[in-house]
Amino acid sequence: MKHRWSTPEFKDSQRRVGLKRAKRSKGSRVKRRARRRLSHSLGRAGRQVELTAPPALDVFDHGEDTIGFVTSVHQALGRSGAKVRLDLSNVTSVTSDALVFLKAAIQDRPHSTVGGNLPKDPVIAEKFIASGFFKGFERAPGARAKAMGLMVRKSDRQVLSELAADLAQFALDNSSITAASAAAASKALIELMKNTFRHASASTPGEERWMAGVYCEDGRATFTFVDLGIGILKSLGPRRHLKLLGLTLSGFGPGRLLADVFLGKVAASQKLAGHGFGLTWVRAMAETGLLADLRVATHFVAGRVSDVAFRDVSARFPGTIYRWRGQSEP
Amino acid sequence: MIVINIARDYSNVPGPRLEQEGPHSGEGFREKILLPKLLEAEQAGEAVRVELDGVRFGYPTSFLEEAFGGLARKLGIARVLKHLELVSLSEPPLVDEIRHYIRSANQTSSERLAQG
Repeated sequence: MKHRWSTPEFKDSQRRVGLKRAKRSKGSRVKRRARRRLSHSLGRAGRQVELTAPPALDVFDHGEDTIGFVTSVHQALGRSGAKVRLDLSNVTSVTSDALVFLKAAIQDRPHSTVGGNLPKDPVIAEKFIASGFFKGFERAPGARAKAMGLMVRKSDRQVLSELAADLAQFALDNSSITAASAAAASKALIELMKNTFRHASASTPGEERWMAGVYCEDGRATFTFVDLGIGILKSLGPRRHLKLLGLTLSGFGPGRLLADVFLGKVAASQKLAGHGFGLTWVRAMAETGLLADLRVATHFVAGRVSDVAFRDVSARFPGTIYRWRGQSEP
Repeated sequence: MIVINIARDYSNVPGPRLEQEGPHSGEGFREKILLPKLLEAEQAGEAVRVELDGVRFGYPTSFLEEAFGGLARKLGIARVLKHLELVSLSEPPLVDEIRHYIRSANQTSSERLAQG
């Protein structure tokens, strides 16, 4: 006797039912996932993060607070569709490096929304407005926009000598910087852009982004270069990471390795003939005063390049910031 | 004598070391202008005069090293020094700087440091 379930017709019908069930369950799984994703993204987009700036924004003299605040902004903006509100009302002083740093962090996340309020102090608020990015912010009474700074950005990591020359020219036109100091600034910017490009080539493409700016005020020009990538120390390769570990264990820390970089003892391309001039030249210019008071902050270290002494800072910044003043005419 | 004026014949804003890094590079200047002109001068038994004045804000070290040091790595130090004449009226120390790049063309940074 032949059972019903052994007939080819029954097997076919069972296969069709199974297929339908599979399709239905797959369909609903996909729909469930899509629904979950949508609600999740709606939740993200709807969420607004509010961050309060510290009273003094200065990468080098108030490094912990400033680096901590800007990296929080950068991280908060990193979420897809994020809305971040910056409360700058209590800011009583801001340096050009902090402005460029904050601007670089915000512009690095073009798909997120940033709003907030400007500092209560109209003079400080004017500085934010002059930077050209904070136009959507609520203004404190009396704040006026005034073109007193220039800020530029290029995200494709290329070395652009025209851009470096334009910044140097802007400093010449709007401050009492000497011609030699403006030339040194232009050349230094090219070297820093080139280092950023090299780090990008060595690491994941697209990780390195930079912003350069010059701020002219009271006859003085201040240059800032921000690299939002992996930073100097991480770009040195695995052999140097072992050295860094050794230095840290022996109590010297990453400051010693950074000093070695500026002394020319560590070049990212050490085994290549003719390389390793860039950052040692930058240090030499800092020593002559043409790049006056040149300071650098990267990872957990910060300090003055001419002293080649770098101290540890508790805030971790995964990039590099340089700031220097132009040498002024007497 | 063959004359090259970098600002006029190549760029008045010299840029990075390599062409892949950005425009106006030292490598581009060497390959497109300096090397062909030097070989041409060598065949004619002449020298190449390189005029350095006229650029907007000077020369980055990487540009000079790649252009002139790179040329010495390709052709040999003696050959380059023999056929190259460098002129800078606005910044005379630049000539010595370039000669230094040519002479130390085959040294790595650690070898330069060891030499002091």
